[in-house]
Amino acid sequence: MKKAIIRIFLVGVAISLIGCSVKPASDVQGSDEDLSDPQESFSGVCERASYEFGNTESGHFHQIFDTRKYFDQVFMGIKRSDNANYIKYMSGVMARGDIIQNIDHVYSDFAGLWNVHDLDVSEEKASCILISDYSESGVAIVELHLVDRDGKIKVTNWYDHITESYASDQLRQFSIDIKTLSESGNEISQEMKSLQDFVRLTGHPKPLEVSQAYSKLDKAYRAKEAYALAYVVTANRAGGEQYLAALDNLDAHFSQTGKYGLLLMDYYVLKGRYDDALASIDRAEERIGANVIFDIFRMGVYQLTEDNKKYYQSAVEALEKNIGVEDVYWSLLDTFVQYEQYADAVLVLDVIKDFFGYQITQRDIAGIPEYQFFAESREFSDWLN
Amino acid sequence: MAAKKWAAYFWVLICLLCFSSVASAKRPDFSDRGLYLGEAVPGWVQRQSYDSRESPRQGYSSQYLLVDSQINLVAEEAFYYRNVGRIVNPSGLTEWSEINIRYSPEYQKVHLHSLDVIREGERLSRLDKAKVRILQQEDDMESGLYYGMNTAVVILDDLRAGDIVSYEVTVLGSNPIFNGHEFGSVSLDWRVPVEKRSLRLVSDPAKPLYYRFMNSTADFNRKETVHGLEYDLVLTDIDGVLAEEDLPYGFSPYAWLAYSQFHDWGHVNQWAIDLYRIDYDGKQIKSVAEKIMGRSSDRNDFIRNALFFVQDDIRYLGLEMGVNSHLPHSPDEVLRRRFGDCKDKTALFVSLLEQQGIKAYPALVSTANRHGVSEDLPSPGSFDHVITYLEVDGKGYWLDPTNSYQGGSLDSIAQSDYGYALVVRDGTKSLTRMFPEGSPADRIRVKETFTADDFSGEVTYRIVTRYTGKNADYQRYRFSNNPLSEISRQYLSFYKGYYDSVSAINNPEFRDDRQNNVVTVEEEYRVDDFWHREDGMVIMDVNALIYADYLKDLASVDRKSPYYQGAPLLVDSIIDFHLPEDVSLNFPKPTGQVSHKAIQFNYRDSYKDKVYSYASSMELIEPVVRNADMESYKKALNDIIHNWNFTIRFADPERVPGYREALALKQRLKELAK
Repeated sequence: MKKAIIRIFLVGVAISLIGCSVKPASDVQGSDEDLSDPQESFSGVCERASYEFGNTESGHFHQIFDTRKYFDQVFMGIKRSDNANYIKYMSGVMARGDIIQNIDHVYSDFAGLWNVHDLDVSEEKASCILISDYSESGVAIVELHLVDRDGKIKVTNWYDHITESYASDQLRQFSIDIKTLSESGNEISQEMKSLQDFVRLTGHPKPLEVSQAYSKLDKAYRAKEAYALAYVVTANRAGGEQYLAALDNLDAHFSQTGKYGLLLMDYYVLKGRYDDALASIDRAEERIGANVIFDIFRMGVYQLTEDNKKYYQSAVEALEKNIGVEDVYWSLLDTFVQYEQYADAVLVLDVIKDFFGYQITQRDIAGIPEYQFFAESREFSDWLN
Repeated sequence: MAAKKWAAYFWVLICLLCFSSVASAKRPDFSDRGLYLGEAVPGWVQRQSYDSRESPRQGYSSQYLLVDSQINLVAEEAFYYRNVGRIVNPSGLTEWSEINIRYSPEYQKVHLHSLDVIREGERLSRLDKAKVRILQQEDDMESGLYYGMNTAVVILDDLRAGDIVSYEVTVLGSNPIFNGHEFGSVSLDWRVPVEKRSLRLVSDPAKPLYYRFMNSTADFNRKETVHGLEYDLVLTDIDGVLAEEDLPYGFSPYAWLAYSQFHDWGHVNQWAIDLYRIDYDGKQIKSVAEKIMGRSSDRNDFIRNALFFVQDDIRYLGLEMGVNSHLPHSPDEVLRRRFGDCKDKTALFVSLLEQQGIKAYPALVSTANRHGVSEDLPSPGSFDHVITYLEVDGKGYWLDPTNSYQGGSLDSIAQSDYGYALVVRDGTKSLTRMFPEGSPADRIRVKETFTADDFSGEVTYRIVTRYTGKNADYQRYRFSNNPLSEISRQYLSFYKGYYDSVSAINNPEFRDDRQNNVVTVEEEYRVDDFWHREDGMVIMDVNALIYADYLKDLASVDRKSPYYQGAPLLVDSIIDFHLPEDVSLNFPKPTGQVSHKAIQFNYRDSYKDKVYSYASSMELIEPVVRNADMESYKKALNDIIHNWNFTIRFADPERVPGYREALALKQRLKELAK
């Protein structure tokens, strides 16, 4: 049996583009042959990007990524510096090669089927929203920005709808700050060191050290959203307590405008702020468009608030959109068992067994403390036989 | 209005690229038909040489060695031309075996000066042996237009590959309707290459001549001689020009010279005002106008009814002989004989409105050149049609009495956008942009519904299409002039291109709300083989077929010219699939938009209560796609085409274990949610 308790943490956070490569170079040496189709349409490239994001072994996303344009956006308005220290600090912490390799694997935690949710083409530009399959890692929602340059379609940047930031934002903030520091003669200051330490950690997060590194940042940096987000992203990879601390920080200082609702939704749920969580889902759905993922989010909240009618209604909405979303059935099983609706629980088991192919035994069910009574029920017994 | 002045030189020059004559014991006499054979070349003509040593170009069956045109505007207008070509291979024999010379016997004479075949260096005159026929061909008879033109057809026999054919013609005289003001255009290149192209104009120094080279950097040498003010040029080694499909109105890939003795549009207007200043006995006109007013609710309704009277009750027939190429007949006469062409209908419509104190004006337009008229050298030759312009309560209307089957109120009658018009009234000095805010867009709404009892049997396919604007006019015309069985056959043939096993359940049903100019067409079909299966999945095709008529796949076309995609149009399409049972659909087209300055496309799909619905809309914004926008336009089309023609796959309920259990559970959840 796969799982019986729906996760509390619902949304997923992609790895950061700051820092060193998350995979050794040998793992990401795909063919550099340009595989783009000269006749490819915007929708075709979006489909291809969704495949590359979902297929973590592929490593060819960089072929449709416009690195030059991306770095133009990172360094837009930042004059080139001949300050040797700036170049040294920048390249030491964020080598271009590492960043490009990271790009291929930035959503590596979200392997599986990605869907093109929305496409908006305007002349030589387009954007499309890709949504990952709902998985153990949660869900990723990414809006790609594409451009047709001389007949070739390339991704120039993307907007992560979970962190509500562009892929280039954190790098850009970091390069601005490094430049300011290096040009002010403070490059060997504690300020610089703490900044570098923090950025290095985003590449290789270590439990217990992330919060410490963030707290050592100068107050001026901690007042910037880019570092608060980098903190959340890094802490998410480091572990639960660290992650909660990062969300505390984000909520306290950056959530007043209603931003970061999706990112903070888990946090709101944990804190019992269910109305905030539901409002965050509504806002995100309005921004992104209806998707089964939002129905699943609502199910999670209504399950906790024990608002069963709304919970079932959300389940119906989810199944109307996609009857094959496995998590909905596991959640329903939990709920029916919790409320001792055993006749309904066995209907769910029918689907889990026949539709998804799970073999369910007496021992599986009896092994879960919350399922003890159900395991002993007549309905389950009849179902087994 | 027949704008085909005799010196529509395009025609002559294009037709000259075919030719020649045959034997007869005595030179035939066609002088009574206006054709003279063997007359000496006029003294003002300067004969041009050609180089027969030029090598033929690869891929062409004949070689055009010389195309010479000389036009004398000093006294009686005279257009001399000489064409010399070599037959390269047997295909070229066909090409050069017949010469056509078109002229108006009402005011023109034709001199065929020479007709020679040069074979192995020896010049053989074929003039005496010419087999000549004079035909009264009416090219536009099917459209109800009679020009009274003659075509002298000269047949050459005993032609052989390697022969050079040479002939010289002068056409004398011009249409008196232009009061001695000459104008015309002369081609500088053609579909085929030409080794030498010479051109000479002789004009009266006292009479200003305006000219413009179009799509060409060529220019004249000018000098004053005993003949007058002379303009000449010689071009050599001219490449053939290939015209692409779907060219915008007013765009030509060819180069030409336009000339005119009209100095501006005000001058053309002055000429036209005189034509439309017609005396008529208003008794009959007044009587008809009163009858129309009697069944009209107000002034606007009267305008509409008068327009429909002229459109529907006056048969379209144009007798364009001589001055009547441009001079309208009296409204009395048109009313009496119940037929007329565009200028006759306009004159009648204007006179009917006048009876109720409504001032309206003829407006000259070009249906072929449209916006391109604004680039023309001012002359009557710019126009090929006349419509009516009027203003009511400060609002302008462009109404076309030549149209037919129109519907709607004065405000909803479809008005065609011909770009620019010359409104014939006192004070007009320039062309008027008809719709400066952009052409009015027509609208089509289509609802397609597929209904199935199961996933293996037949599907009922119902289409309801609602047309407004010009599309409604067209459908009204179509259903009024074609048997239902023929329309049904055409429709079915179209659907068979997408569904092999489609058959009609009923003939199309036509409903006409003419008052509001809305036409609704309902169709119903059966598709026997709608569902496909693969790997346990059911596959159904989603084709928003309405777009097939408007969108071309240009992805693989390497286009050099601008592209005409069609008049402004709004299309809304909804396709509903009523599925026999609940299924699991992953939405293939959740929502999207493709925007381009020329076209916009939006789509969204949904699934609820066993109905999968795909809604989309398309707006053709700009009729013309410029070269600079072509690549982005092709990409946009590619994206659009992928989104009106796609397939949906879903698990086959028959073959997926647990699938029906999942659907039953969903039903149970709906009950619990109540």
